[in-house]
Amino acid sequence: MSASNAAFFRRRLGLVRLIRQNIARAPRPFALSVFGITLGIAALSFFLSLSLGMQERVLRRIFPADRLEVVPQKTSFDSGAAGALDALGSLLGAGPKPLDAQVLATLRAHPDVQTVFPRMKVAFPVRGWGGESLIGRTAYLDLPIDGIDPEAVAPELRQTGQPLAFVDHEPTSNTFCTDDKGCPSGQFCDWDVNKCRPPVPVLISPFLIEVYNSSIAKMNGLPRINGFVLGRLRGFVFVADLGRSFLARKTVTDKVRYRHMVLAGVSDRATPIGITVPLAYVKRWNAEIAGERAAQEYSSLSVQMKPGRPVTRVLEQVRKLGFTVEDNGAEQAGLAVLLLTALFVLVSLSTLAVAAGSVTHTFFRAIAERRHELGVLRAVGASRADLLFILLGEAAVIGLFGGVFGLALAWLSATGIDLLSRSALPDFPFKPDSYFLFTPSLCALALGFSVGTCLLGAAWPARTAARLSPAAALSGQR
Amino acid sequence: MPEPSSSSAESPSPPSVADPAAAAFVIVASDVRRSFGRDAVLCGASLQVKQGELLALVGRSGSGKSTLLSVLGGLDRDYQGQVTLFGKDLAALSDAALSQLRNEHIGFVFQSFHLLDHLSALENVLLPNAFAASPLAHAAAHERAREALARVDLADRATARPPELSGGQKQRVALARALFFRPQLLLCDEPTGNLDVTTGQRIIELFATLNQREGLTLLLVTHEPRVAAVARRVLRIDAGQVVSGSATDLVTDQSTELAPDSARPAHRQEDPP
Ligand SMILES: Nc1ncnc2c1ncn2[C@@H]1O[C@H](COP(=O)(O)OP(=O)(O)OP(=O)(O)O)[C@@H](O)[C@H]1O
Ligand SMILES: [Mg+2]
Repeated sequence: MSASNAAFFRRRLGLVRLIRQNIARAPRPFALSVFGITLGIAALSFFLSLSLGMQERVLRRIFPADRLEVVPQKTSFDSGAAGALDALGSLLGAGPKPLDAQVLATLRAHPDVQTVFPRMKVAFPVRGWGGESLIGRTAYLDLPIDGIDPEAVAPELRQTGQPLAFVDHEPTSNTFCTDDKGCPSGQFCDWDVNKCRPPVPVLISPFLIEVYNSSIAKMNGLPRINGFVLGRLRGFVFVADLGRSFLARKTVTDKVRYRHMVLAGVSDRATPIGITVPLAYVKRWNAEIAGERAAQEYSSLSVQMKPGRPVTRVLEQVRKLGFTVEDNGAEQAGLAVLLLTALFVLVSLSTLAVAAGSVTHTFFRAIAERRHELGVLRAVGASRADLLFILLGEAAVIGLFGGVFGLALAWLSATGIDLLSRSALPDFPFKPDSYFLFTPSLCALALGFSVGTCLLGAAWPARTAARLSPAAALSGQR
Repeated sequence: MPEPSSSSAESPSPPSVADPAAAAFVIVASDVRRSFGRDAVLCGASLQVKQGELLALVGRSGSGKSTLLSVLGGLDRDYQGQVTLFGKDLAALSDAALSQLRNEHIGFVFQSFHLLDHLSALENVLLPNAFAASPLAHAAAHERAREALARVDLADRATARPPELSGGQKQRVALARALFFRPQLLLCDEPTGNLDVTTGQRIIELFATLNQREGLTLLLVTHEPRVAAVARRVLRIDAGQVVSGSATDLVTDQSTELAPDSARPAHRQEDPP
């Protein structure tokens, strides 16, 4: 058995040697064929990697695909009959259905759902201020606050090694104070109640940093936030006036609260506009300032899908329950990328088809020129299958070279474009370091396509050659 | 002269058939017919070749010698009739089996050498090894190829490519290639046709040696009178059939070529000599 295996491999090896000799003999037509395939494969892998890159490096960052944000139905007339009914309901004082603990429990029980984290917005304006130590003056701004269950961000914070705790400190605080100096280290004096408390931990969204970097920082000549700056910003303490608006210059409540807050980290799940704190704070503040009902209704529910599960069935249930999901444009953006990809892949495929045609042409010509040689091979014992193996082997080698060169060309162009983009294009939100992604499966696909195209192109001429009678091939007649 | 009927028994009997039972036949062909379009070249050719025979096949230009040789060597399968090689019916063999038969048991030598110009002499001689059912290992194959080249006095030209070789040298490389697997049968189509007199003589002597010393069976298509000295019998193709000839056929071959041939097949287009 092993002896015959050895014979088999030795035989194949001998044929492979012939293939090599054939290619070495006629490098020019070989190079021409390789060139055609190279262009086709380069175009194909360039566009595929661009598409992959856009999806993985840009879209995925803006719109995580395994999450849904369930929100109450908007009361608008343009969302069909249901919307109209809701609108009628809200005119009659019913308002949209509230996202409460019961809805939360229902969604958590769905088989496709990994977890659901509730989010709650602070139901009143908040003015934030601080920053003397950073920019030399006190800055004021309106600060939308969102509360989220710390569990929702714990894995991400652990993974990215962000050291400051994102937890609810409130119940542990009670030392009397009149200013920060009277407090233990790490605590601040909230002067509306004269108590020392740890500052409220705050998360911000990477989106916010992107927007800051690419527009605010640039326009105001402020430093960009990079990894290093972020490390120093972590632990930055500022004050939030709960119940006071900066823009409207008014207070909405007679009991304005003052809370020290500390920047604890960055999270994908943080609200893209404003800051995010542990949910328990928001519940307490809403109950105190805006009333008990505001403390019961969630502003949204973050649904995390089980890995690989489609969102469709959950979406159905959400709609059935009378809610909707936040339309974040992910679908449209994804579709746009997909359509562009399809278009470019079609263009690349037609390039490949032309290349395959040229391989066919080259092989027919080569075989006409090599009739005599093929006859000689048949005379010394080559079977039809051997000729097929040799000719298709030559085609496969063309495909392999074309595939490798094509990938290399695509990678070089991609790298060039990335370099250009980094040096010449202005910053914009979510500007990626690279627009391209070359995955192993993409490379395998490109090589497979390349070899496949060549085999396809050579199949017909090779078959014709193999079917030639040896006598006819030797005599040079049909 | 009337066209012979299709039965081989009625056609001129295959010449000098020794007792068929006594010796092993390498080739038994009966009633072989081959035509190209309307042009019937072989019309009921029959012959038998015994193991160890050296025989010459003569005939006018265009009489079908090369055609017959192709059929007998399994290079041309579009024939009618029966051809048995080493006891195997060629028509019954698969392409792979027939190719293997050619590879192991038959050597071909052609008038125009049929070497591959992009390979060295040694690589040309090595070619059959690539298609063997169980090829020799690299070292053994090279050794055998060198031996084969040494046998035809070309040990020193192993790395030369055919365009750098003289006609006689090319033919000897082709012979070395044909002998690589020590075949039982050598089919030669005008092996000396492109060679000068002395070179041709040497090739013929080589054939005689192979036949006498190693018992190689040879079928030579030739116009070469000197083959008469070594050939035990001479066959002639006439009117698409194989008839027995004599040594004089070799000597007078050139002149018969020009002679009108009343026995040519009926629908045969005349081709200029
Ligand atoms: N492939 C082919 N297609 C058409 N006709 C062919 C083919 N091969 C041979 N013939 C014809 O068959 C006839 C016999 O040819 P063949 O080559 O067998 O002759 P030959 O006896 O070998 O001649 P020569 O001595 O000149 O080599 C010729 O008329 C030739 O034109
Ligand atoms: Mg001939």
